Amino acid sequence: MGNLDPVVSVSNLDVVFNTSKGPLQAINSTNWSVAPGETFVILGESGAGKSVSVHAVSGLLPNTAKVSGSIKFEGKEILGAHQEELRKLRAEKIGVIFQDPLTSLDPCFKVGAQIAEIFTVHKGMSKSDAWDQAVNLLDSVQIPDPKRRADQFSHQLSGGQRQRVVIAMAIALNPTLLIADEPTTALDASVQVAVLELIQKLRNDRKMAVVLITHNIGVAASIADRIAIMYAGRIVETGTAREVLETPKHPYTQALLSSMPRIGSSSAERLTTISGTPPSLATIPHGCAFHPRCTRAIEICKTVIPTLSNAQSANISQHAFACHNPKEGK
Amino acid sequence: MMNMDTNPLIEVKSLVKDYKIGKRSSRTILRAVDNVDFSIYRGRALGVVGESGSGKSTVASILAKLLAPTSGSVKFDGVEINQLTGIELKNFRRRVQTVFQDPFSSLNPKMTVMKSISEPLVVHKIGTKEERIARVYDLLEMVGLEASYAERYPHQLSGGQAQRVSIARALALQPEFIILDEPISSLDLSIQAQILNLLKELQGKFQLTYLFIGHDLGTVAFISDDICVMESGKIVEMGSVDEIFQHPKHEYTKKLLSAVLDPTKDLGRFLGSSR
Repeated sequence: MGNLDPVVSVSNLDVVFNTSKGPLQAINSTNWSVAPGETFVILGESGAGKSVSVHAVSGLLPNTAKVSGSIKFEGKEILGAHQEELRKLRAEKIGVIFQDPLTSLDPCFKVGAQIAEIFTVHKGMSKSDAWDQAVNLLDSVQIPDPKRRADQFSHQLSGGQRQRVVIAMAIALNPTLLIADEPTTALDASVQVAVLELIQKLRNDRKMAVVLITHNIGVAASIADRIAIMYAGRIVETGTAREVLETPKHPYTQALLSSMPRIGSSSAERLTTISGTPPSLATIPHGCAFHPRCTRAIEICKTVIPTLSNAQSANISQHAFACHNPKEGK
Repeated sequence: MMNMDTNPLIEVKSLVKDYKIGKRSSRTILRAVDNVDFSIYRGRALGVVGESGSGKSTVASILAKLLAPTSGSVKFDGVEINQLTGIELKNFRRRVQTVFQDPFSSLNPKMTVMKSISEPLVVHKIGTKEERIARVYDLLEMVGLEASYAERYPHQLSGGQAQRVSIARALALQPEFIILDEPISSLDLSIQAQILNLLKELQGKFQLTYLFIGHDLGTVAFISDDICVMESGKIVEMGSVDEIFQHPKHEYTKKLLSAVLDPTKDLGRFLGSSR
């Protein structure tokens, strides 16, 4: 992936929320980047810091979040940049899709009007030009009969079509970065497949960088070029989809993969499980956050936080993992 | 797990559920469940799969007698459930239990775990107060929670713990049949396997009969002996787990299976032309 300059590159990112019970660190010194035409998937459980990571970039974190470190967008530092400049950058260069399309759409406006508004506001188009453009866009996200659909309200569309409308809005201004936060979690499996195919097609056609968040390992495997596994606010393993899923090194990744029931192995009487529960941000264990649940934990895991590194080198663009006591061999 | 029992525990025949939709002038009928027949034998687990709107949960609600069917027959242990009244109905309510997707909406936020789990015992006037308390501690142990959890309120529980409490409550009355409607869908990834193992272990231990609804086919395959595939209110295919998932015959079943994303088999499935 190193041949293209990254669209976004995040380094030493910390996000701390100021709450009534004191500061909570949601993200702890994470590093990642994504190149044009590349799909980077952040995989983790709820509270692991997936959404906070990407919304530090999209600017959708609440005011109580204190973001520090560095976020470079197309080479330019955006942390601490001027608000107005940021607003423009985020509107035009970053598209965001959320899990539930109904909350992204206004029930009182026709979907065509909601898309057209983007063009009248940002491109100064006339209303009728903007409408035509909206219909074209609906066509490009493969909504059948886009003229008629543009004239409808969100409640008249199916879940999959609504998500396509939201995708259309996200890509309206040709963003260089598409952030998809659990884009298919609320959808049926066959619709999920269609939406993932669409995201990948748009990525290829437009050479967008895509950052996709999911808790579904199958989704991650099917669409990712590279994957980062997050646990308790840190990236614990990262690499190409093949490296991370076929030769997982971190005990957490290994346990997640083996605990998943799969068709064809249904004769198993018991699934391998991870004991305990994911920690809350207020009570992240010392040392490696995973150690109380880890079968390979040793003394050092309780006190020293393992750094993300490769056995051979510290270059994190390769397969890297944060573990003191990884399993030898495969 | 084959059973010598010749009579099924649950026998559903020509089950129909219609909903009237729209305004009076333009009323149309939506057939949510369309002539469904199936049986579940004691100690077996039937998995029901299908996309949203296929009628899975409607069938589950009718079996739990939370919803009256438009027509058709549902027999539980040989008795038509529509005709149950009085003491027989109360018995049915004891023998059939449900566990739903979101444990926090099935638990009363103002009740401690102790109160939630013992409530069915109180309703059915089982045991003395001391016996009920002892029973709650037994149940907590059964579902893998420490005794100290009895004093907690739902907001002090994680999703997995809350679902364990829901399961403990469902077990309180020693039911024979448990309807599980997406019981792990709202749980964290690393917790799902724990709950699946628990459900399977309890089934073996108490000879429970399950109706398991799920959208993740791998999960359904793990729990179930037999599978029933529903599409727009109809059963399109039914058979053993292996028959349905290894040798699907119906187009819809094949479509469902092709939409499963497996971390190994589907690695890079959508990367397509770019690779």
